[in-house]
Amino acid sequence: MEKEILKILSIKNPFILFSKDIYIIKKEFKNLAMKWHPDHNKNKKSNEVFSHIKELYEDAVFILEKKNIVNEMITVFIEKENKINHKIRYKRSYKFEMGDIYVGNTVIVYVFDKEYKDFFKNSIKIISSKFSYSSDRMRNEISRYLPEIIKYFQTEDNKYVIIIKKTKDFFLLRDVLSYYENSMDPKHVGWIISSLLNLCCYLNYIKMSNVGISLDTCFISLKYHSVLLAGGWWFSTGFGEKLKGISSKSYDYLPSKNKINNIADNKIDIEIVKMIGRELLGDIRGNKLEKLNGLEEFKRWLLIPSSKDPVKEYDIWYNNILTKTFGIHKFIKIDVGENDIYQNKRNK
Amino acid sequence: MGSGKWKPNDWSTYTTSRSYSTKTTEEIYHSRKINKDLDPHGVNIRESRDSEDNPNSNAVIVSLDVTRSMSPVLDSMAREGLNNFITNLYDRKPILDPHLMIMAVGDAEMGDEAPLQVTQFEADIRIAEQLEKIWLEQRGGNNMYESYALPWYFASMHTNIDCLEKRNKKGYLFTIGDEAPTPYLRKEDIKRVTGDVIETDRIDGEDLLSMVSRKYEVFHLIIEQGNNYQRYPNKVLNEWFKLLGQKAIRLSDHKKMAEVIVSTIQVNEGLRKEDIINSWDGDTSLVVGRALSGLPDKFHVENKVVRL
Repeated sequence: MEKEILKILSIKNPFILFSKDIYIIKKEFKNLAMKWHPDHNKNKKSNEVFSHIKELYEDAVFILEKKNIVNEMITVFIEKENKINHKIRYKRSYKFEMGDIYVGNTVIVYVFDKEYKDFFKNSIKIISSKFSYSSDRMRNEISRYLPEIIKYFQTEDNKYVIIIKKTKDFFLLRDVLSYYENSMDPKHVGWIISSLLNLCCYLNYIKMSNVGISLDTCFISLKYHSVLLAGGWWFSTGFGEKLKGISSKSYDYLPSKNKINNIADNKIDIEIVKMIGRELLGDIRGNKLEKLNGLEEFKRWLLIPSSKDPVKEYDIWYNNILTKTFGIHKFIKIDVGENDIYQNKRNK
Repeated sequence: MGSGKWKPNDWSTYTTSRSYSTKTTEEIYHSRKINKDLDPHGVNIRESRDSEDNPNSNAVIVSLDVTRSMSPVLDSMAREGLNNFITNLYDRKPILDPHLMIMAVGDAEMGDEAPLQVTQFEADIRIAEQLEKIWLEQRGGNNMYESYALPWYFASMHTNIDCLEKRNKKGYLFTIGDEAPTPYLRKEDIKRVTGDVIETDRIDGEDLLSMVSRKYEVFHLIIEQGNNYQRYPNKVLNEWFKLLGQKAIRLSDHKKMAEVIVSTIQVNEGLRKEDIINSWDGDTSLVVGRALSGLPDKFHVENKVVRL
């Protein structure tokens, strides 16, 4: 009995215990419940075993019911300190420069390899204590585009995990770009740049460079045309302080001055935003930017380095580029949903 | 552009037929105003494209200073430098199928009529024909710098290169001169030289460097024999090192410019500095050794995080 208890409690994958058939597993669960429910089993661990079986059963049902809609997977992180299991349901998982990202409907999880513990700690410090606002109005406007940590911890295998809250309408920018086959319509790139520049103005207000804005740290809401800057905070550095690091990809586009002096300033993020603008148009180096043929002001803005003032840059972008290129601001509805993004079912 | 292959015999025939050995610098460079083929104004794009002759083209831009004090460099380039350069590129093969563009730089701010002249990208003797068309305006001024940043602007905004587009490999851009770096390009100078209208009043030199570095590996050769360098060595060195770091290279003998450029490309392509220096004879190895002394061995970003 004790051996069996230990074996069941060690199971993480529900399909070790249950079949992959929604009709059969109900019967399997009923049989297991008859055996392990505390009303039927007097072993002192029966309650724990039954709870675990029930949880595995729910996971199995969840996966089997959902798989025909949007494939969803589960991963578990075990906290080192108190052995608590954190089960994460996610739709996509990627590598980023320090480890792995898991993107779920309501959470984003960044997992740092142990050699990046200092960057993990910097993220926690920045997100927990460095965001400030001049008024409630500013807080209401900006805080929804900034990350809110649900939990952070060290895992049993010495990784470092940050779980961030998100709403269902936000998609990882990498996934959206992939849906658009690595080259988005300039109109969409336009509003994404506007949102990112708006965040640069906020970063200028708190006198900080994020340094890590990328396809893996930005989440965009196609419904509301907004950007959640969930990550990159691991590199964040106050203006005038020595830069901590940068992804090798962004390093190529770091202003020359910052490469030499290694000091954070308000220009770094604007340049990275321009890099992302070019990347979304399918030409990160700006070699040709063929999608912008005929939109010369937009093209030139993406290629020529920015002014040192994010507010001035936003003003130039909004009044001289965006309005000239696309006319008066209007909301362009995008009829793309979760299934389109995650199943890559694009109407061609 | 960029079909054909460089042949030393073509060079020999070309220079002999034009009696280079008996001509003065001014007679070789016979233009007395900007040649329309080299005028960057209104140029949309200069292209370096793969071809049957050059299936793996690599763009290389060499930008020469044509202000008054730099005539000896131009003279040397026409007599033996160009042939040395391309022949060594072919023999040593740090990069395949080089496509060479030559630019000539003056001083836009001091009112030079042709502060930038630009050839096509060429792979054969046609580059010599275009080199000869350069107008040695020989002006410049007392502002302590030349418009070295104009090639950066032009290369970043008006060139398309297959090495980058098809193989994600940057081209090379070398500027050469004896003065300090350009602190900024003014809006009116950019418009006068290229026809482009930019949003801001000026673009700072460091920003221009950032722009061009997206497409090119950028180096500057400081000519230590130049008058301006001889008078203000600390200023020139400090400003270039501040801007370019180790990619600012000291050239103690301008006649070895070709060898230093080829060696720099070799280092950047991952060859060991020591092996490169030892591969040259006598004086050349001394000049190359001094030039490469500060250059880091190729900076490989293996890790995905660059700690700063």
